[in-house]
Amino acid sequence: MQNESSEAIDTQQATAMATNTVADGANVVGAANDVAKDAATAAANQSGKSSSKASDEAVQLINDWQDISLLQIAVIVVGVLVTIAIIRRLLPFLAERGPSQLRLYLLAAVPIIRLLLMTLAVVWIIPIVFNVTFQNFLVIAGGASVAIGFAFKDYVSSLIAGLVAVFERPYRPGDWVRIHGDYGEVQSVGLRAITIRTPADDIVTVPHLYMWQNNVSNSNDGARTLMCIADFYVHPDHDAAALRGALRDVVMTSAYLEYDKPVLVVMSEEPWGSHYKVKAYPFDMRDQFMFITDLSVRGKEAIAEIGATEVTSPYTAIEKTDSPPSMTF
Amino acid sequence: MSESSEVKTFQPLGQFTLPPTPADETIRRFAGDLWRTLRRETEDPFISDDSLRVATKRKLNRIVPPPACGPLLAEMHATFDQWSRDPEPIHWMQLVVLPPCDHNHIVSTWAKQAGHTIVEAPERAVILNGSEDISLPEIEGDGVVVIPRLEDWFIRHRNGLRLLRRLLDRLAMLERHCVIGCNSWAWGYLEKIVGADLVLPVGVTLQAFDADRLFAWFTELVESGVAEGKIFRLTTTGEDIFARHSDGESANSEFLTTLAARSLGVPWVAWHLWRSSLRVAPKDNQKIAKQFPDEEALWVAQLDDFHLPKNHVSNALLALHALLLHNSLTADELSIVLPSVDESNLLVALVAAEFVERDGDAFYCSPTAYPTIRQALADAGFPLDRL
Repeated sequence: MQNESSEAIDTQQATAMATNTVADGANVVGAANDVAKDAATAAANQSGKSSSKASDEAVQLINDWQDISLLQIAVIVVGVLVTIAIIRRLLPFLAERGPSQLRLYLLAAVPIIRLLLMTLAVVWIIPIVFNVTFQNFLVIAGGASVAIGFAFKDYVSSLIAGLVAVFERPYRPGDWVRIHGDYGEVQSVGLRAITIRTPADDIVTVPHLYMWQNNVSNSNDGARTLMCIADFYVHPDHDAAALRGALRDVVMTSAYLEYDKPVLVVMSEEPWGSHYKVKAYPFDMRDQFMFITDLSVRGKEAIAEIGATEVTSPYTAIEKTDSPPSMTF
Repeated sequence: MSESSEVKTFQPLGQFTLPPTPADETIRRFAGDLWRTLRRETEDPFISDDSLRVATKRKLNRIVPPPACGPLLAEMHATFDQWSRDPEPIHWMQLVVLPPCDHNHIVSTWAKQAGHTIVEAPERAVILNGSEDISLPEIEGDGVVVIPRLEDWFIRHRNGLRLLRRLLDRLAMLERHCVIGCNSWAWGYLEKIVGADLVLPVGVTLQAFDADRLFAWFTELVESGVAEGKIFRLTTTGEDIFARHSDGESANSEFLTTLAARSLGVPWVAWHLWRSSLRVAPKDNQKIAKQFPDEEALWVAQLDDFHLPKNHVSNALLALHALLLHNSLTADELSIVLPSVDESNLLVALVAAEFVERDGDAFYCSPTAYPTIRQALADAGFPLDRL
């Protein structure tokens, strides 16, 4: 009996101890929860401050003036401009004096190198001036698109066409092109326009914009030579086979002929006579006019040798009057 | 007998291998005039070129006697001897394509030595004034017939081209041993313009003269001429260019390697370049007498670089190209095949610059200037020869 009572006492004590332990545990958990709440609150406060700071930075498009190094920008701009100027002179200089095979490659490298240098300069300068963030990009792009849309539509269109032209290569420096009726050698390919030198030694500036909606006829398309055509107009009463053979020999014996290219003599009958077209390639396209002249001169000799006669269109003389033209004001 | 002294045979066209250019020579040529000038200033030559005398032509002919064709005649004999005695050969015709500036008329000389019939081209005046009824030379008969130079047929004129087509038509039907010679520039032209390669068989050409071949040939030349016993020393280093190792091989082939590369493997070009570089020491030169007391030295100067006149380059190249195609032309003939109507003094200027040589009324490209001419024509995009 005594033993039973003592066991009961032990059980009560144990239960009390267990109860105390649970209570202590609950206190610990409560304390931990408090710490976590404090931490969360602190983090929330910190996050709020950060987002506020980022928001402030997004609004700031341009860096502080104190942080912008105008000297650094000037050095970059001047350095790039000087390099471009040197390349624009050096590569054409080398192209003119170096082997003929390298000429077109050197000339074609000018706009590409210039584009790369200008891109490098822009990428270098932008972080110096602008506070580059995604939000700022959106702000600038939005503003720029409005300005471009209203004010610089054609100009930017030409610039974009210029970028396309550098990679699509409808024309390269050294190519002979016909654009909008102007035929000549491409002197330079700028970002906005190209300049071509016509056989009459005129410089024609053609904006890249033309490329969007007009045909660009490129006679050599990067090759060293192009087809030349000499025309002959002959009275129909002649031995056509003999003349065709003679004209072919005229081409074959030209000093300018590129042997590896085909030679064609085609003929068509017209109401006014026989039209011969002699088609061949000079070994250097810069000789194209001399080549055509050589073919024409010696072709005339060949025509005369086989007894044929060239024909001309009727010449209508302009009527002359004794009195000066009257003027009306 | 060393391999280089064996009689070689001609090889098919397309297998002509240019002798390699030494690396320092390549660098030197790329660097241009400025670099060369600086190099010469900083170099201390063994003996200055200015202190030496240029040998006269008569003296050169005694020291290094012509002809400049070397062992080629023997090689032609070796190439065609068996074929010419074959009564029914596989090919009745043989085409020999040689580099230009061959003033020794190798194919003609070989034909004369072998006693073959030679068919020369009609006079150019006849070709110019001729029409369809101009008669071709007789090529029917027995034995070997040789047409030594197709380029003599005034091939870049309409009349000449027409005549040549008739000749090719006749040759296509010919059943007789026939050897046709043509220079490489004319062959490159005729291949494309009249399809001569369709009528004539694959040509043969000489094997390029590299340093070893030049050594063997020049050694034989100097040992057989009045230069026997003389030592050919470089002005830059004083080395003997014909020195031999104990096994008989060339000990100092750098000069000959450079010469072979510079001459594009063409023997007569190398021969002329070598002759043009020979110098004779003044009699009272004590320094040389002290250093080489028991010998008579001939001095080999650095090879000259040729440069085209800076003005009228395009017209000059057109003229040089025409001369290479035709072997030689008179001034009137040249004006007929050139498109230019001006530059009447061009030939005079080219002769003065040693690009062109004159023999009576005929003008032809100088062998010494040929490598420069070929490079200039290649740079300008002209169609080139094929070997």
